[in-house]
Amino acid sequence: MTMTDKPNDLLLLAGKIMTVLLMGLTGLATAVMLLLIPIILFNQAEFAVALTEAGGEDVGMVKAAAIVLLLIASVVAAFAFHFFQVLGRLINSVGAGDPFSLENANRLSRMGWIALGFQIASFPIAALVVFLGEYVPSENLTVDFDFSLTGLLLAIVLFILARVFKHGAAMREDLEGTV
Amino acid sequence: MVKLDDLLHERRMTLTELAERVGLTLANLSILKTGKAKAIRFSTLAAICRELECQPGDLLSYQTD
Repeated sequence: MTMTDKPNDLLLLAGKIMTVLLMGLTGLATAVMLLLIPIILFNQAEFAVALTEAGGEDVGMVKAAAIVLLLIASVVAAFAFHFFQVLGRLINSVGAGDPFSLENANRLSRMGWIALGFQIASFPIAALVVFLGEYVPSENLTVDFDFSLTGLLLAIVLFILARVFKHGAAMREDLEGTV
Repeated sequence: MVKLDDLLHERRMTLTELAERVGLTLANLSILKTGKAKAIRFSTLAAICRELECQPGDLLSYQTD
């Protein structure tokens, strides 16, 4: 094995650790947000009191908007979990020494679609936050999920990488029968 | 077509032995022997000819289907 393999192993290890951590975080976020929905529905009186104390109005409207927001956010978090899950599998295949496969090309494509989905999802989420802002004072309302050009660029790069890996898989198959 | 069997028999060499000497895996050399190979590197061809003391034409022949 050459000298350059050692830093690569550390890189793969770092990548693997990060993906596992991020899977944990996004999995937890999904669970928490899904759990909040029945909590709000079964504790409507407490919710109304908390909202009024925070300076909010129109409990019914806020409750409905909050539930829709939580639903969208939990779907987004679930997809984020899947994104890191697929990335982990890709990193494993690199570690196994066989990255150029159609499977990895499909994985990258899937990650691209999820990344694109995040950017598209930011619009209804932003709209809901603006809507909620009419009923809840903004200092008590924090949602951090904006559209970003970097995010869009990530999606584009992932799609391009998918194409590169598809090409690599074809080249690898061609090389398979060479002795 | 790859004529490896006759040459190996003449040199009293096994496929495993030849694989070791030319630096190929037995699997890859078998692919060559059975005619399943898509391409052969010049370096591989040269190594086989060196070990079997033959010319490329002794090893390879073209046949119309």
